[in-house]
Amino acid sequence: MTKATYSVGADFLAENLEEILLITTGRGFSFVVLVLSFIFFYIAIQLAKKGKAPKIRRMVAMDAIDEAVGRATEEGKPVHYSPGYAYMTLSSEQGPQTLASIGILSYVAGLCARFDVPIIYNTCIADSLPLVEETLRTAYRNEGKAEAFDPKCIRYQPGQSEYVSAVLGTFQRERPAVNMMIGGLYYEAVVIGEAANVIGATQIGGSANIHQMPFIIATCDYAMIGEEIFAGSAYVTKDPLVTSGIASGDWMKMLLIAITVLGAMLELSGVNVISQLLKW
Amino acid sequence: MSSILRRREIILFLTGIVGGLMIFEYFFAVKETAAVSSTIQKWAIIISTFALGLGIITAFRVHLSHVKKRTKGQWFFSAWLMGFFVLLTVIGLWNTKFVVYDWTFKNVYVALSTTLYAITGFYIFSAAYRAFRVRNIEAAILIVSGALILLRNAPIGEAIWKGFPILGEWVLMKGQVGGMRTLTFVAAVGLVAFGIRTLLGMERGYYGGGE
Repeated sequence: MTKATYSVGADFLAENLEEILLITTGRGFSFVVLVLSFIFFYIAIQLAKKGKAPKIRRMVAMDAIDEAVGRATEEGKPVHYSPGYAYMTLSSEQGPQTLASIGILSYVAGLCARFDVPIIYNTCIADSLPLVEETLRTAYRNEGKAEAFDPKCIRYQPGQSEYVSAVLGTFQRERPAVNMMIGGLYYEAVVIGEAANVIGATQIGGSANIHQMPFIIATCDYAMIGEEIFAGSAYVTKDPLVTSGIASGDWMKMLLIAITVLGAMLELSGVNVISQLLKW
Repeated sequence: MSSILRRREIILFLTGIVGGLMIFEYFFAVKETAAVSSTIQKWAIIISTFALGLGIITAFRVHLSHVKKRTKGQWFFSAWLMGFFVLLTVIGLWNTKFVVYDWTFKNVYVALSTTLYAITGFYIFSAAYRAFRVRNIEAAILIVSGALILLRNAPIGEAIWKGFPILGEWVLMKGQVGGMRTLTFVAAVGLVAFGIRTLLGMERGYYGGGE
């Protein structure tokens, strides 16, 4: 992959327009995919505006959130929420998972505020703290219970091991009825998951980290795998305009699967046009 | 002032501008945008570093409250934590080579972290016990695959039958690869869709619900 740099003076533009318009080598197909994603997104939104919103499948784990918070209300115990290690920063490749998790937290916190269930949020991601505090504060304010929000429900630990041991301590001392761990999970997935099972908490877990998915599936009652955590915060809005964006992602998936199958068939017959296109 | 800065439009505008610039810089090689992108990335690092200070304030707020209220079973640990933090900060600012600082890090912090990581093995064992119960055909396939991988990795597998490592290798390198790649693939497409929704301001959760 080569990446040359240019200057954009007027003369330079006139002489080198064709060269400047060239996309960085090796990223052309990705760019086409991105543009197509925007187009599909636009089409899905337009369909939703006309009342023909694409249908999306039911997400069992997201639907289970209401039931889980209801259980915590009945038992009079808190809900525990955690976004995982995620390299301890929003700037890492795990950052989008943390943001998606905060989107789901917004919904969970709203339910907790509505039913007067305490929420405990343990994290080791320092730069997410302002977002989390604002998210929780807004969720309580939207339910008309701004005064019930206590910023001390957000507990920060500056490291992975500290965070894991703090969660284990929280479980033993405060016995939450529900444990939700959604985000960029690492080895804490199995430790927190099993510790929550020991105290009999209902568990909802989710991560896009494929190496942790087996542990989430083994330990949690409800699991979100793959792209489900990214779709979760849009799904809970039940707003056709927002959920149609999830459907546009599915259209993109179908197109890419078709290209993959076509590419495999062409490659087997000695034609490498698709593989060359992917390298563009 | 603070209410103006929290306005939804400002957050959406900044997200859109910064996100759009980063995407442009990734796909197109233009010197000027590369420089701006580099500067913004440096800002991100600086903001993250400041956030560490915010994290410490958040942690102190929680633990100070426990000490003040004498929370049963908690306040003593909170007091110990804050005291230890202050002590190490003072020593660290003075001299990181000081014997107490060095010894505490190597023989307390590292040892405790390693111990916590090591107990993961026991948790994996109990999670595996829960997962490996044959209740349906999928669980049966899972346990057979797991057993083959176990017999591939453990020397006893080859001692029992030379075919076990070959079968285990097939499961590891071929059998499960399709499934794992599928998950990676759908997660990547889902991430792109999430990114588009965020750039267009349709993801409301990450800035506090959007109300």
